[in-house]
Amino acid sequence: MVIRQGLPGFLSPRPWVRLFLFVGLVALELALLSIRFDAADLTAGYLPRLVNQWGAVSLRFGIAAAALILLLGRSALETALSSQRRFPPISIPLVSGHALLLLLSWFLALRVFGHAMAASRADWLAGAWILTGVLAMVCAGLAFLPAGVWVRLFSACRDVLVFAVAAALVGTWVGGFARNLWRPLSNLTFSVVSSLLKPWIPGLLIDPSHLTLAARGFDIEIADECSGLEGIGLVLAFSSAWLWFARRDYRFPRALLLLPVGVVVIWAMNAARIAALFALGYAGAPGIALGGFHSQAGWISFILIATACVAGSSRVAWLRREKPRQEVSLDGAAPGNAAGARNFTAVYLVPFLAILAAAVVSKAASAKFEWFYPLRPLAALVAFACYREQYRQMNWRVSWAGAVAGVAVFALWIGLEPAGAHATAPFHVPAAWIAARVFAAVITVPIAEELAFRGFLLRRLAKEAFETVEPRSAGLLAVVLSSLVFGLFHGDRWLAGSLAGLVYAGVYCRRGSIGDAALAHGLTNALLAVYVLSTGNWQLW
Amino acid sequence: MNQNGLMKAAGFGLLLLGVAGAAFGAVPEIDASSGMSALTLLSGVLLVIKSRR
Repeated sequence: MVIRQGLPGFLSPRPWVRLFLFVGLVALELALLSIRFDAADLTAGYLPRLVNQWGAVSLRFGIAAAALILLLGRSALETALSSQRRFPPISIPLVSGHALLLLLSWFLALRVFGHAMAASRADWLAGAWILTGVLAMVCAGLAFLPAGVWVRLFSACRDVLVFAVAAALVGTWVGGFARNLWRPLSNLTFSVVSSLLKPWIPGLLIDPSHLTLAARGFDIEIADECSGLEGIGLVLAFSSAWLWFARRDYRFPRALLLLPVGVVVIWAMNAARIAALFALGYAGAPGIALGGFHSQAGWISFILIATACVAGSSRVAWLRREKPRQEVSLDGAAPGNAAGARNFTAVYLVPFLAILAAAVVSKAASAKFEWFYPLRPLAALVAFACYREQYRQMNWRVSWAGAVAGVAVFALWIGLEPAGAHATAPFHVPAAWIAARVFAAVITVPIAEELAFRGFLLRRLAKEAFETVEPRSAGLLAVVLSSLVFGLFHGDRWLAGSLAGLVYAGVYCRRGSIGDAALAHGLTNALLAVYVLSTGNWQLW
Repeated sequence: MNQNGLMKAAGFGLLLLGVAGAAFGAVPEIDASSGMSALTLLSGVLLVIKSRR
């Protein structure tokens, strides 16, 4: 590796970091593009219509192929990357060229999407948009790795590449073909839901021709999309990936039984979900049935089945290979092993996961306003109590730097809010609910998120045995990636979230104190709460 | 994180993104805004289960 004099060291990262940065950059830019623009808007011209018809499919194909290459071609990629000992630094001119071409491509996209124009003009603009986009990607690729290395990478992964492209093509085709199964599966789902409800709902009106159910003024239609097919796809993808990931632990072919079992269970749970939705609406809570329950119950089913697939199958000796016996204590540690004295991952992640789980349940039980929000801080407090001994041993010292960082992030957060964005409280919200919301924002959320994003993720990105990593030595890549993930967690405010994550990470790495980061985060949230309550602008909650 | 682990993580991430993205686009029942939280919850639970072994 070469670090030229006068150039900062981060311009010469290791080769695989360069590859990862390139893949991450392209993925991020494509994600932003697909979020901002809708291919359905492209109706004029031959090329725009082609993008309209094939854009989403091509994106899915590209993602599937990239995933397969990274998963199956790891050793080939590693060999190809290690064959060259010296790499030039990341090229600033090419990175600048990438940025300029990207800006131009974005500008052209703004013209192409959603503007009525003549077909020929649309074709020219779309052609220029695609060309600048491709050139931007080429620039980025050459900025991170020289052309010769790319040739070696393609050459080393030729077989994997052919397989990945073929598998991605088949997968994309099967995905499209599977839509033909929507109608027959919807009919079957309708029959099961009707049978489940009939004994319990007097006067249930069943219309098999329109797949509708009605009783006491509440009615639902089981549309094609409710057939449960996408849930089946999610479970199949997840359980296949898990079996491959943990293939050394399972006995094959018997472990493949998990696939059909998962399919049957997720489909049955989809039918049960629709029956429960109808029952809720019939019982007088149509808002909850068609609101939170409708959007959350599918995810709850998927999470439960995926967790059961992993946790349950690990307890079935018939499915698993025998491993050398090791006594494990209740918290997952081998006795007498000081380093493994705790399940450190659980210590750092469980409060955050408890909040997420409580949020899913709370949203599922709500119509528009999340009345059960207090479940979230309650779940966090229970998790904190479970691991209180471990938390006592952590570094909770606070400093002025944490407080200053908290105020700075508040200013940044408000500064990045779009001008004029305003939302009022939906109605007179009870003081107890507001108290729980503020308590969560200032105490439980900052502690849980700092434990998860800084204490765990930042250090886990540096090393598998994350508990041994000194925050200061975690490295720039770990700081940036963990902050990006933190930012993505804030939805539309991903930029403010990422910048906030960088500041909190800086505070954490400075003295290695989770308390400092939690203080900064808590102070930001406290100031935001004061801002929301004093201005009445609930947009920020 | 070493090269192997990073590529594996990136591969799984893309795989889930692809499948979940396809599902979000097609089905209103699978709420996209809740997708990030749900997938994070699932990933976290798996990490905790894996680290117990």
